[in-house]
This record gives sequence, C-alpha cells and structure tokens, in this order.
Amino acid sequence: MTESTILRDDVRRQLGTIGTADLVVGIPSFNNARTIPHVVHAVTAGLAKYFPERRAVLVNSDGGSTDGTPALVAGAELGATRAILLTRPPQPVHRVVTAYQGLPGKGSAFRTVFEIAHRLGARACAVVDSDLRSITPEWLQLLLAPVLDEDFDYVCPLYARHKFDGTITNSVVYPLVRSLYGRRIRQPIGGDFGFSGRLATHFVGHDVWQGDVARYGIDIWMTTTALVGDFRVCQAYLGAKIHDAKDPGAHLSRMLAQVTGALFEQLEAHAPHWLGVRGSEPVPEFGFRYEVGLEPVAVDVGRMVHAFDQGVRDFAPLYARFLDAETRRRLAVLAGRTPKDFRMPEDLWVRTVHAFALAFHLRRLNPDHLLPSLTPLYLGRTASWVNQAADYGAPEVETELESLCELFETLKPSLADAWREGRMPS
Amino acid sequence: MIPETTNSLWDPLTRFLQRGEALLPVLLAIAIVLTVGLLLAWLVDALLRWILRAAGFDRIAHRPRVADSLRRAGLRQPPSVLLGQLFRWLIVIVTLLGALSILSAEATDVVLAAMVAYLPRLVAGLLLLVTGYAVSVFAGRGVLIWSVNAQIQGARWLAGGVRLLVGVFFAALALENLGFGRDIALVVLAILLGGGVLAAALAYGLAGKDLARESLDRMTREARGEDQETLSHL
Repeated sequence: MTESTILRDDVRRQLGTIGTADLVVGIPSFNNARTIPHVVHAVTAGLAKYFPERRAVLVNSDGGSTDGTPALVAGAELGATRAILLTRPPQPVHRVVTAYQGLPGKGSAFRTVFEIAHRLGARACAVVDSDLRSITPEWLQLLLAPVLDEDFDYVCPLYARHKFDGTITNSVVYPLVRSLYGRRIRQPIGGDFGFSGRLATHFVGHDVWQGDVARYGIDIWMTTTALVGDFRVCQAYLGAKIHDAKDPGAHLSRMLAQVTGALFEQLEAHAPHWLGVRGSEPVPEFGFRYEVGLEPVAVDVGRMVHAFDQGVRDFAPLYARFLDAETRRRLAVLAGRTPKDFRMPEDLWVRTVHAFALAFHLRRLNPDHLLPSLTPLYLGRTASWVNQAADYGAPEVETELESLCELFETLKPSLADAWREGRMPS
Repeated sequence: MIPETTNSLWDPLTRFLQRGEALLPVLLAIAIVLTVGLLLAWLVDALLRWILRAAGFDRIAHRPRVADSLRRAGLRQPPSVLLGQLFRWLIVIVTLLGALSILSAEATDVVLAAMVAYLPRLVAGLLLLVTGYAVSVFAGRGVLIWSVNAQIQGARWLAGGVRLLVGVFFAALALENLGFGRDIALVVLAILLGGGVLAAALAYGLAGKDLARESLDRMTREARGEDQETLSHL
C-alpha cells in the first residue's frame, strides 16, 4: 500500500487539529458557485438531522474555480436547524476547503477526500456532486446509514431519471458491469456514493491517479474496485437527479472515452474475476421508491444519425481493424436510414461494445484513437433508443433495459472465449 | 613498312592476350566465389525456412500485434520466409564483396569504406522515414477522429492532407540527411504547404459566407436556448 502525499500542508495541519471524525462528506467542485451553496446546505442539514451526535467533516475539493466556489463553501452558513425541526443541537460540522493536487478532474478531487477520510479514521463517507439541484438532507441518510448501521461498504445511488438521460450508463456501463461482474448495480457511475472508511483506505492504497481514473473514470473505478474486493455493496434510492445544465453536448467524445477507457482498463485488471462470473444477481436496496416529475429532455435525433452516418463512412478503415465484416456490413446498412426510421438492433450494439472492449484489450488500435471512434456508434445507439422509447413510460424503459442487459449476459461467453484466446470474436 | 605495321598491330594484341591470360584465373575465381556464394545463399535460405517452419516459428505471425505490424509494413509472407530471405541477401552481399576483393583489394576497401561511412546516414534516413510514417499515420488518424466527432464535412480529406504534409516533411528530412535531392524535397514541401494554405484559403473564402451564416445562426439559436440538447449522457 502506498502512502499518498496529495494533501497540502495547511490541510494536514487542519486535520491534525480536527483529530478524528465519524463521517466525511466530500464535494468535488469546479466553478459551481451557482449550485454549491444549496448542496452544502443540504449536506449540513442532513448531517444535523440524521447524525447529530456524529463528528462530521465536510470536504470541498476544488479544481481551481475562478467563480468563488471555495469561498462560498467556506462562508456558507451551516446547520439550517430550524428548517429541519431539530430537537437537540447537533455536533458542529468541520469544513475543509482545499484545492486538490494532481491531474485536473473529479478523480483527483475524490482522491483528496479519500485521503482525508483515511487520515481522520472516518467510519462512513459520502461524495456528492456540486452541481446538484435536487439533493435533499435525506440523501445523506441514504448514503451513510447503510454503512453505519448495516455494515455495507459501498452504497451506489438509484435515481429516477428521464428515459433519455444517462445513456452512457444505460447503453454501456450498466449492462457491461452487470453482465461481467454479475451484480445489478443500476447506476455504477451515478456520481453520488456512500462508502466505508475501510473502503476509503483501500482506495487510497491504489496508484491509479495518472490516467482516466483521475478524471471521469473515477466512478466506474470505485464501483468495480468495490465489486472485486471483499466489500459489501448495496444501492439506495435517492429520487430525482437534477443537476445544473452545463452544455451537456460538449466534450461528449472525451467523456465517453474516459468512462469506457477506465471501464476497459478495469476489465484488464479484473479479468480473472469476471471471466468466471455467470449471470447476475440483484444487490440490496434501501430507500423508498416514489414517482417524481422529471424535466423534459431535448434531443436532436437528426444530428445524432448524421454523426453515425459520417462515422460509419469515415471511420471504415479504422473499424476494419477490429470489427468483423458482418458487423461492418450491418452498420453500413443502418447508415442509409432516415432519422425517423433509425433503429439499431440490440445485438448489433452488444457485439460492437464487446468488439471495442476486445480491441482495447488486444491493442488493435491506439486507445487514444479507439475509444473516441466509439462516439458516432454510441450516438447511433442513442438515436435508436430515443426513437424506440418515444412513447415508453418508466416500466417499459426498465423492461427494455432488462432485455438489453440479458443480451449482454447471453453474449458474454463469446466475449470471454475471445478474451481468453487473445483474438477478436469471429 | 609492312613489318612495322605488323608489329604495331601485334604488340597490343599480344599485351591484351597476356593480360587476358593473367586475368583468366581471377575471373574463374570470381565465378567460383559467386557460384558457391549464391548456392550457399539459396541453401541457407531453404534450410532456415524449413527449420523455422518445423519449429512453428510462423505461429508468431498469428499474434495480433505481430500480424498487425507485418500487415502495416506491407509484409504478407510468413516470418520464416522473411527471415530466410534476409539471410540470403546478407550472404549475397558478402559474396559480392568477396568477388570484388578478388578483382581488386583496393577497390573493395574503397567500397567498404564508403559503405561504412555512409551507413550512419543511411540508418538515420531510414529511421526518419519510419518515424515519419508512424507520425503521419498517428497525426492523420487523430485529425480524422477529431474532425468526424466534431462532425466536420470532408474529415477524410483533412486527415489525408495532414498525413501527406507530415509524410512529405519527414521525407524531406530523410533526403536532406542522405545528402541528395535536398532542394527538390524542400521545394516540394514548400509547394505542398503553400498550395495547401492557398487551397484552404480559397475554400474558406468561397464557402465561408455560408459557413459564417450557419455558425451565427447556430450561436443565436443556442443563445436563445433553441435547438439545444439537454440530454445528460452520464
């Protein structure tokens, strides 16, 4: 186990003053002045309401905001006790506001939180996004209580989301994690997690902070690391996840590459584990499920289909290096469809994702080229889903997603065989 | 008069025959060296292929990375054949040098010295070419991926242009390093760069009006919140 040195001197001194803590809640941030006061209020209210006797520390790990985000956290009035009808005064919440060190990204911000939790000997920790508009004090209870009271080590979030939202999760990450690791974690990269101090210490011991894990890949790394370790995993229903709109189309390719790159790297590291897994099983669930009204989502299917067409045409020489002839033929046939009629068969999508995972494993293409070349196909899959699910309600969405996951599980043996034999699937 | 003419004709002929007589054993030796050398080259080639094939050496060509490297280098023959050919050509070169040394030891020394002196430049030139090829492929592919994901039309042309420019740049470097065609290479590079910039300027100049209108329309729509996707992919 390597001892991290990522914390600044002033933070280490502050931790020395604090001594120990039962709970650590981390909020990574970068220019979130608009939303972070609400998140801080919700966190402190949640700690005061549900854990009034616990020593808690709130950590803001900031990536160099220029809009005064850290100052807002440092100056935020803590403990909105009147609003939550407290009967007794809670323990004060310590605040650690620091600029993280290392590569810019959420992973580096989390690393700081892990190390602070480790140094304070925290029993339970949580991390929540700083751009949340729907976080409530109850989220803290749902993320921390399973660790404190039920001895779970890792609490994944469960959200009510719009049927078109979270398509990287729904089309790639959830089905792959479920079929390969054998656990039905619905939001493996949800962004808001609870975890035990033991797991925080385990995270700190890894040296993975120079790649995609330091950026968007942190969520999938945490989840898969917890799954292959000797850790108890559950999920908690948090309700709607509404966060600040920040040009969601921007850098899609980079985001997709970081998430899939981190996931594929995990598949390399965990191959002995997942190659032997068959089927999948549900994980324990906490929280009370309820219907929520969701904000409408605007989607431009025409733009997505156009991106798919161009990708299939212009990336043909690249795809020829790792996609089999039949898959390429089927993609080429799809490329001629109009946006309205565009439907990508599910098995084609599953085979494509498996081929990318194998091409990454066999280094058929430089990862910096391979992973972004998935973007047009992913947009095709998303356009197909938007067309397919246009009239679906929440139950139909989950039924269809279940069917996709089962297909991932059905086709897993051919992926595993090709992986073992070091070849692309035939 | 006649005896003088006869002598003037006979003497050079005699000298030629004498030289030929002295040269005959040398030519014979060269023929023997060449024959034995070429036979040896063929024998070693065949033997090596047989041994390597029997030892299953060709199986390494089935490994994805090796197969990919061979394919990229345009080598379609099995590794045993390639290695056999390599040894055959090495023996042929040594044989030729041996034959040359029989003819004239000095000439061989001169050729060898020139070869040895030129070798570093040759190796550096080859390295530049190989590096240039790799860099041009990498850069071209990077540009292709970026431009396709940015949905830029003509992405393949853009990538091809970048690949050509990088390739020509390295080829010019290699030629300059080898010491010939320096001016030609530089002129070609300048023409390509200048031509490329002019072509781009013309293309943007002619099409820029529409492009600017499209961009402004898009920016206006985005500023108004129209047509903006609110899909969250993660």
